[in-house]
Amino acid sequence: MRTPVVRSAPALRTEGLVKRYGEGPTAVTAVAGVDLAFPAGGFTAVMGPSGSGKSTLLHLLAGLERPTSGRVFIEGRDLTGLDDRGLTRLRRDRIGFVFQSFNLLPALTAEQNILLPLRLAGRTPAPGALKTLVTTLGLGERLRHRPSALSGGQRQRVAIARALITEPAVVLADEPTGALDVAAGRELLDHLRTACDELGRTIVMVTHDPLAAARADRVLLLADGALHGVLPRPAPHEILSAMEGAR
Amino acid sequence: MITHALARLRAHPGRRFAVLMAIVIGTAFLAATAVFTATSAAGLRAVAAAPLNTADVVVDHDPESADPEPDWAAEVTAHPDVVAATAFHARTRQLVTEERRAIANVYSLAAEPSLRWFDLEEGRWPASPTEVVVDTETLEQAGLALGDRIRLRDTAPSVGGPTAAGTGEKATDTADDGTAASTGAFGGPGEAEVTVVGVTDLGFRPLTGVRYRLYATEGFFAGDIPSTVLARVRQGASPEATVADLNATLPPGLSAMTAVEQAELAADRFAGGSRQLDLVLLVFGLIALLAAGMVIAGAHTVQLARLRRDIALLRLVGARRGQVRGLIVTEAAVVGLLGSLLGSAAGVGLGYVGASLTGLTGVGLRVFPLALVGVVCAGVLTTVCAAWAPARRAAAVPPIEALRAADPPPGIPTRPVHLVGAAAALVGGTVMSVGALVGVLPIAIGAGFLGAVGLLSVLRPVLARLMVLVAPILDRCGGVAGLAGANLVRDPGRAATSALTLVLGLGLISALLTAATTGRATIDADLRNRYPVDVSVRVDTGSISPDTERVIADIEALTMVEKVRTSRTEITGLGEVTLVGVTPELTAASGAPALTGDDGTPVMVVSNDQLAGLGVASGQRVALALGGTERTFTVVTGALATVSGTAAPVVDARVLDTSGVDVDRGMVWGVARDDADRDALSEHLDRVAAADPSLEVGGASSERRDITGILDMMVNLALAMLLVTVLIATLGVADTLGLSVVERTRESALLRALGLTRAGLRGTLAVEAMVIALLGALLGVLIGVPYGLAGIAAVVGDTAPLVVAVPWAGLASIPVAALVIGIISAVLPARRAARTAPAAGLAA
Repeated sequence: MRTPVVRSAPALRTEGLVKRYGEGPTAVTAVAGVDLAFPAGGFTAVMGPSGSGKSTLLHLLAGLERPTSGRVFIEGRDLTGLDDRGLTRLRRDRIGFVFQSFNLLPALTAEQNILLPLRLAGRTPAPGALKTLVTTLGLGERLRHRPSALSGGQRQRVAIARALITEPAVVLADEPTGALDVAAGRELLDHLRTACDELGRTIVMVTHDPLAAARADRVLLLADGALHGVLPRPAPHEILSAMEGAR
Repeated sequence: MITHALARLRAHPGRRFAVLMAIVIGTAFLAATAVFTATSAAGLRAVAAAPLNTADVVVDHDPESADPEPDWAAEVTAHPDVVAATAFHARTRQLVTEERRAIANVYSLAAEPSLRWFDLEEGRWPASPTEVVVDTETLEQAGLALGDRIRLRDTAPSVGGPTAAGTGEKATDTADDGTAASTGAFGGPGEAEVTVVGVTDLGFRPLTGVRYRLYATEGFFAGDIPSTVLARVRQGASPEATVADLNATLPPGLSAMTAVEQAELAADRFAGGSRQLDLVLLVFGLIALLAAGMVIAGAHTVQLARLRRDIALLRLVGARRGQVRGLIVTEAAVVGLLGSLLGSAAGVGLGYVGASLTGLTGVGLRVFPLALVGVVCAGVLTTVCAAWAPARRAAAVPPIEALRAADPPPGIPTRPVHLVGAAAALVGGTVMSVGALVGVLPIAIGAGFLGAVGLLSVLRPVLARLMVLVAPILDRCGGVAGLAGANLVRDPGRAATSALTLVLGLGLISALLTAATTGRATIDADLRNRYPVDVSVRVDTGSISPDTERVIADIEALTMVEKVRTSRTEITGLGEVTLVGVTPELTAASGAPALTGDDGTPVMVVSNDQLAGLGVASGQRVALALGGTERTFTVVTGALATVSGTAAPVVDARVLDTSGVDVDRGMVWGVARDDADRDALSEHLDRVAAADPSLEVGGASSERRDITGILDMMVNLALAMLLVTVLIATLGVADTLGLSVVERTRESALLRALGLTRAGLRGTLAVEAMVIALLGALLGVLIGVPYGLAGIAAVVGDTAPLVVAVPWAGLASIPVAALVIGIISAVLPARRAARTAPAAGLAA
C-alpha cells in the first residue's frame, strides 16, 4: 500500500545549494541554489532534461563533490563540514548507492559484494539481515557467483542489496534502470518500492524515464540547475507534459 | 581486509609475477652474497688456522728483539704442563728440477706425531734431513712424483725469482732468510738434494703466496733459530694458564698465546683482504635490490592505474584512504614475503655454488640465519616501500571517478619533486666533477650518489617526453612502427617507467666499462712507467749464450728482445757497477724516456740509492769518468736502472760502444706485448732458469700480471652482478608490455579484424619494446660514461696521471644488447596478443 509517511525531520535536506564549475565568464552553473527536503521513508524521483543538473545534484547529496556554496544535511548532519575521512564514513554507514552501470567489484562474489560496506566498516551483518535481503530480492541462488556470471537485472539487484545492507539513511540511485530491459527495469522498481514501503528506506532516484518516475511518491523537476516543479504521485502522462513545460 | 586483498590476488595471480620475480632475483642476490661471504670466510679461517689445529699454545719470537738461545724450544718444553713441543721453521729456497727453477717454501714437520697437522696420502714420513713431504698441489704443479729427487738452492739475496717477486710473501711464518746462510750438513754449499718420500692432500690451497711447498724434518733446518714453537699441554691443563706462566718466565722477545687466539689472528689477517670483496658484493646486491624496487614501483603504478575505477568504487562504498592503501601495501607485503623467502632459498644455493667455484668451502656451507632474516626483511621492506607511493596515489583517487565514464588522460605532470630532482642532479654532478678533478674520493662519491638519486627522480618525465618525440619518427617508418609509436604515446609515463630501470642497469654497466677501461689504461701506463722491461735474464760474468738468447727470443709473448750491452766498470761516486747499454729501439718499445737529451747530451739512468751516492738531483748534469775519459751525463732516476734486479745504471748503447770499455752481452731484456699471456710467460721463464743454473731471471712480468689480473677479476665480477640488474629491468619492460596487451585485447582484435597479420601485431609490440629499451640504453650510456670517468678519476686521484680511454666497442654493444632485451621482453606479451581472435573485437 502506498502510504507516504511524512515524519517531522527529513532524512536529507539542502540549503541554498550551488555548484559552479570554472571561474569568470566561462563558469558553468550546474546547480543554481536549490532548497530541498526529502522526507524519511519517502521515494523521490528527480527528473529533468540533459544538463539540468540532475547528476551533479546527486553527487552533491552524496558528498562526492563539494558545493560552491550552500549546505547538505543527512539526518541533520552537515556534510559540507566533514573532511575526507568523515565523508567516507558517512557514505559507508548512512548512504547506499545504485548506479546505471551496477559497479560491482569483478573479483568478488555477489555475497562479498553485498557485504563489502560492512566489511569495510569492520562490522558483521545482523543475523538474518543478509538472508532477508537476499530472499526479498530473489538472489538466493546466485550468491556464490561473480558478477560476470550474473544477468544485468541480477547485478542490479546485488547492487541494491549492497546499498540496503547497511540500513542507510538514504539510498541514492542514478538511472538504475538505464541499462536494463523493460521487464527487468519494472522488476527493479518493484524492489525499490518494497525497500521504501516495507523497510522504510528513503530513496532518491535520478531518472529520465517517466514510467520509472511514476513509481515514486513525488517527482522533482529540475531545469537549468533550479527546481522547476514538484509533482506529487503523478501519472506518466502528467510527468511528460510537465517535462515539456520544463524545456 | 586481508581477505579482499587476497581475493584480488587470486583473481589475477599472473599480474603479480613481475613483482614476485623482481624481488626473488633481488633477494637471491643478497642471500647469495651473505652465504658466499660467510662460507668463504669460514673456509679462509679454517685454512689459515690449519697448521695450528694440533697445538694448544703458540710461542712466537719477536723478530725485532735479540736472538734467543737456539734451543729455546726446550724452555717451553720445560713447563710442567707441556707434554709436547716442536720448533717451527720455514725457509725459502729455489726448487730446481730438470724442467724448472722457482721459489719454494720449506716448512718443518713436528718430530712429535701428535703435533703434525696433516696426514699422509701416500708414501711415508721423512726420516732424515734429505727427505721431504710435498702437498698434492705442489706435486702436480712442479711435475713431481713420489721418489723424485729435487735440488734446493739458497736464494740469491739480491735477485728475486720470477714467481715470488711481487706476489708478496704472505706466509706468516717465513724464516728470515738473510741470516739463514747455513745449508745443513749435506750437498754442496748453498745446495741440498732431497727425495720426495710422502705426499699429503691438504684439501685446500695454503695461504702462503708461493706455488711450491715442501715439508721437511727439523734436521733440515739445523742451525736455524726457530721463529715459533708449538706446544701441547697435558690433558686437563688450561692453555690460558700455561700461556700466563710462560709469558711470566720466558725471556723478553718471546711471547706465548693460545693456539685459538693465534688462529683467530691469522684468520683475521687473511679475511681482511676478502672484506673489500664482501663490501663490493654487498653494494651490487643493494643496487640489484634498488632495481627490483624500481620495477616493483613501476608495476604497481601501471597495475593500479588499471584498477582505478575499482578503487574509486571501493572508496565510494565506504573504504577509507588508509584502507585502500593498506590493502595495496598488505598485498605487496605478502608478495614481497613470498618472493623474499623464495629468493633467499635460491640465494643460499647460489652462494654455496659460488664459494665452491672459488675453492673456499673447506668447512662446508655456512649460513648466518640472522643475515638471511635480514635479507628477507630487506626484500619485504623494498617491496612495501616501492608499493607505498603508488598506493598513496591510488588511494587518493576521488570516489566520484567510479561514476565517470572516461579515465583521465595519462601523462606525467611536472611536479615539484622533479624540480628538486633536477636541482639535485645538477648540484651532484657539478660537485662530483670537482671532487673527481681534485681527487677527493668521499666528496665525489657523496655528490655522485646525490646526483644519481636526482637523475632517477627527474628522468621519468624526460623519458616520457622522449617517447612523445620518437612517435612521429616511427610513424614515418611504416604501419607497424607507426602503431607502436601511437601505443607509446598513449601512455608515455608507463613506457618511461619501464625504461627507467634499464637506464639504471645499463647506465651502471656503461659507467663500469668506462671506469674499467680508463683504469686499465691508466694502470698500464703507470706500470709501463714503473716496469718498462718485463723480462731480464743475466749472467754474472761474460755474455749470455746464443742458445739462451734464441730461447728467449722465441717466446711468443715478447714483442722486443735485445741482448743488451753490459760492462763491469768503475764510475766516480758509484764504485764498480755493471753499466748497461741499450738501443733506442728497446727504449722506445719499453716506453721509457729516450736516453739522449734534446741537445745530444747522453742520459744515465740510475737507481735512487745511486743518485744519493752521486750527491746530485735527478735531471742534473754531471761529468763522470767512464773508461778513462770524462763525459757529461744528464743523470736521472728511473725504473730502467733496476730492471735486472740489481742497481745497474743504463745508458745508450752508442755511449757504451764509444767509451772504450770492455763490452759484454751479459743480459737479455724483453718487452712483452700488451695482451701477453703472463702466466705462460712466467712458465717459460721458469724453464729458461732450469736450463742454465748460472742465469738470474727477473723482470716485472709477474707484478703486472698480478695487478692487472686482480683488476680484470673485479671488473668481470662487477659486470656479472650488474647483469642481474639488467635482468630485473628486462622483467619490468616485459611486465609493462604484458599489461598493455591485456588492456588492448579488444583493440588488438579489432586491428586483426581490419586485416593486421599476427606477425604484424607481434611486430608492433616488439618495436614498442625495442624503442623503450633503446631509449633506456642511450640515456644509460649518456649518463654512465661521465659517471664512470668521474668515478675513476676520483679513485686514481694524483697517484698516477689519468689516461682516458673510452671503451667504444663495449659501449656500442650496449644499444645492441638493449634491442635484444626489447625483443626478449616482447616475446611472451606478443604471443598473447597474437592469440586474440579477430571476432573478439566486434563482440559487445
